[in-house]
Amino acid sequence: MSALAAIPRLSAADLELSARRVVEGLYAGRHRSPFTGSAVEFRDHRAYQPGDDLRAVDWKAFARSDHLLVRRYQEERDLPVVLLLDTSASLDFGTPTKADWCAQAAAALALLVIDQGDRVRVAAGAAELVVLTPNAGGPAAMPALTKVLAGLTPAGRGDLPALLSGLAARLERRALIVLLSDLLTEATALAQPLAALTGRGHDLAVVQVLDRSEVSLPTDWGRSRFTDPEGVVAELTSDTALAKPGYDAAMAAHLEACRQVCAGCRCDHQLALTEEQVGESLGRWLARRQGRRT
Amino acid sequence: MIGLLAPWLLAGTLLGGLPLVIHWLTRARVIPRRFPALAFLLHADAGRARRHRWRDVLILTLRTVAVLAAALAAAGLVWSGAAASGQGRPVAIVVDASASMGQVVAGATAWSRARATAGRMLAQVAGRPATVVVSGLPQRDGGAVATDHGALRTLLAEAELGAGDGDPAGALATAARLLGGPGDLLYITDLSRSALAGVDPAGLPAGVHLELVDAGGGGGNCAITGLSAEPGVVLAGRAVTVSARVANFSAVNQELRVQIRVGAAAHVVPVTLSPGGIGTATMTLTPESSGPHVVSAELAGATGDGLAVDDQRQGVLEVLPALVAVVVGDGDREDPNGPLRPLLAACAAAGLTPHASDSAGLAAELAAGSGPALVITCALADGAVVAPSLDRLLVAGGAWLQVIHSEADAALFEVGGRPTPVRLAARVDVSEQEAGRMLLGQARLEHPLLADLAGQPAVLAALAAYRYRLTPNGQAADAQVLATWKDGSIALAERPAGAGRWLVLNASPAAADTTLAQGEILPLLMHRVPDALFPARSGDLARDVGAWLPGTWSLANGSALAVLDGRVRLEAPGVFRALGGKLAAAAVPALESDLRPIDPGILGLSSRSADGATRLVERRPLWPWLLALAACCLLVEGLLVPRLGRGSR
Repeated sequence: MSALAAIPRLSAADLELSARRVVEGLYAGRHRSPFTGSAVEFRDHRAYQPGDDLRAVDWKAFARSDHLLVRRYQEERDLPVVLLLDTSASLDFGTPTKADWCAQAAAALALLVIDQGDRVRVAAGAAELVVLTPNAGGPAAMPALTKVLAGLTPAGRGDLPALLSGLAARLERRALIVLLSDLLTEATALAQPLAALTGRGHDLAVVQVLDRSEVSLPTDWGRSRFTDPEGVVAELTSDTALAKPGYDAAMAAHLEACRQVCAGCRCDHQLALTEEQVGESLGRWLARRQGRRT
Repeated sequence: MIGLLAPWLLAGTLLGGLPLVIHWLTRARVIPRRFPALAFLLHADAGRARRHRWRDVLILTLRTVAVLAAALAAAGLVWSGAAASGQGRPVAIVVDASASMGQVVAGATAWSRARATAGRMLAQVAGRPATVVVSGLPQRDGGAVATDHGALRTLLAEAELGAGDGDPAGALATAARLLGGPGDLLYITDLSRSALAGVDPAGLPAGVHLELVDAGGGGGNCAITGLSAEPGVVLAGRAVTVSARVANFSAVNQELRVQIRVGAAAHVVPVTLSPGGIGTATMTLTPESSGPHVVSAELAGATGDGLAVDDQRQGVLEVLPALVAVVVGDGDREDPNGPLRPLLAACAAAGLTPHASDSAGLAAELAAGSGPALVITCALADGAVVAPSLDRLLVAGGAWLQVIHSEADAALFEVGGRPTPVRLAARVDVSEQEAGRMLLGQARLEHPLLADLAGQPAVLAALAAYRYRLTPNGQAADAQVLATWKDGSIALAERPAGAGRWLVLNASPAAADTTLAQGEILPLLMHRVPDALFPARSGDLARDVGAWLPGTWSLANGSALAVLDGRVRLEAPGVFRALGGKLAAAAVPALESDLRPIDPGILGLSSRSADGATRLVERRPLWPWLLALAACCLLVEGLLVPRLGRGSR
């Protein structure tokens, strides 16, 4: 992966990263926490059970209802964000390469998260997790993260379901997981690991990064002998002008399947093209995400 | 069975690889690419690639088949199969009945085998339209092709062997005409040289396929192939040599005996000939009387002689009366020092029959004569008087020797509008005569007129005469100068004039003026005049069988020959007699005696054996079908391929 020459800065005012779901965090913040405790915002009551702290009993409610109820609060904590980068060999394609684009996007998101006072982790791998940085926050964390991102090299055969499962096993707390991948795998195979992550309370966003030539096969490539960077599919010689209709249809169906899978798992799905500016693409995604929250 | 008419064009099938080469040369360059979404491309391309692979194979097959079909059509692919009864192409069978077919090989003549083969072939094509042509003398045919072959079998049964050349080209043309269109033309022959003379397969109509059927032949043969006489003009009382040309067409040396007969005289000449050799047997005699003399030559002693009809040959030797020589001069014929007396003496010494006349009597002399005439003019008083008579002489084919003795002789520059071979330049004065420039300079001794002088070099070197200075006449382009004097002046010249000859001798024959008499130059010169000045006769004393003669003629036994358009045809060897007593002889054409077979391949023809597997097969040209196949392939490509999707280019 090439050096990150310029990291696009995203405006915090316009592109505020916000979690749609409650994420467990280590620090209190502006985000609502799914956990009750000593926080400030009342959520609801529940029936008293032996062993509950008596300080949590709502005596006023007991007087009104003659039932012993315990107050439950929703705490606001800072948002832990995990940026998961797919580093399989298929990412080494496009102009710029999908891997470069993902690194730039990850750096931008990391910076955004840190600016908000939240903490961020970077995870990466092809078939298994090979990088998982500790939670880091504050301006001082950014150089270390960009160094990690710059050191990622796309290689090897990818296995995205395994990668997601591996990440799920390594995360102790719930987090906002942003997956940056081309999702060039069977869409249905993603359903189970994605559902497992969201089932464990993680907020999941998928940014599917593709090159324009992958979305729509160029007609000016002529007769080409194609090889698969990951070596999964045997070599194929084909005329792109003749193959284009079938390919474009197959790719459109795959993208739709990916969207369906993500929707079924209650996670965001955003298609990004490498020809687009990283900030523009992420801004569009975050604006849509924030609109959905409000 | 499949065959080819032009196998060399089969090389065109190599063009069948052309579509492959074109495909290879013009195929798109393949660019290697890494492509992560290859699985989707594979999924999308699988069906299309399979379909286009089949489409490419189909196109390649169609184009290759089209090219191969066109090449095979050009190579003349034919299907050969047994002729089915009642159907098939018309057949014309030409049976060679020329003289060479009389050759005997293995106890049978080629003619009998040819006739039997023709009968067999007729049976094989029963029901097919057929006709038969017998290429003999006369040529006979069975008319237009018909499915009823009864008349054809009768024609074959009645056909007889001829003694002529059979006119193969004419017979094949007749057969092609009777076919009336495409058909098979089978020529049953001995494959001798005469059988294929003039045959041009390319000249046959389109669709007519000619095939030769070998009737068997090629045996050795010896023959008398010609009879001739020397000199060409035979005069009674003058010696003549009769020659018989003998040819050995066999593969062995031949010790032959040739007997030559002229009237009652006979002479046997032994002749030894190597294989392929040609020799001559001669007999010299002096005919005493004029008129036609029958000459014959007969061959004996030949080993393995295949053909008998050419072992003897008859001819007719026409002996003319002694040549009439008229010496016309206005001087004293008896004057021993005059120019006329030496001329008369020289004519007599040369075997001619001379008599003298004058300018006034020449016309009557010519009107009375019947044979060829030689007129010698010398010492004329007025050339204009004799000019009309001399004109008539030349028109009738006579010869005129213009001896220039006086200035009046030299003044005959033109007769009947014809310019003289020479023209007078100047007199020669005495001083030149004394200086020796009167001597003969150059002479063309190879000319027949001077042939007898070739052995007299000393006499010629000393020859001198009083004469005039003559130069070539530019208006007579066909004049030949035969001799010149030392000063370049013309001594002897001649040119054709009318049907005869005009000869100019620039020398005074008077004894006081010349040394001609000392060497007997004039007799030697006059002896050659008949041969040199009169047109020679035909080289052979016999005509070829098949020749036409005008008038009414009969065989030697008195049977009259059929007259057609005032002519008769000599259809057999022998001697024929005209009503007026004139004789003519006919003999087998010399080419018929050469029985050595030639390879029909030199004409681009094929041949089959008459005795072997001679089952007649029908040959159907397949080129129309092949061209149709090629067109269909291209049509299918044009219609089908767009439906299967465009090509990759």
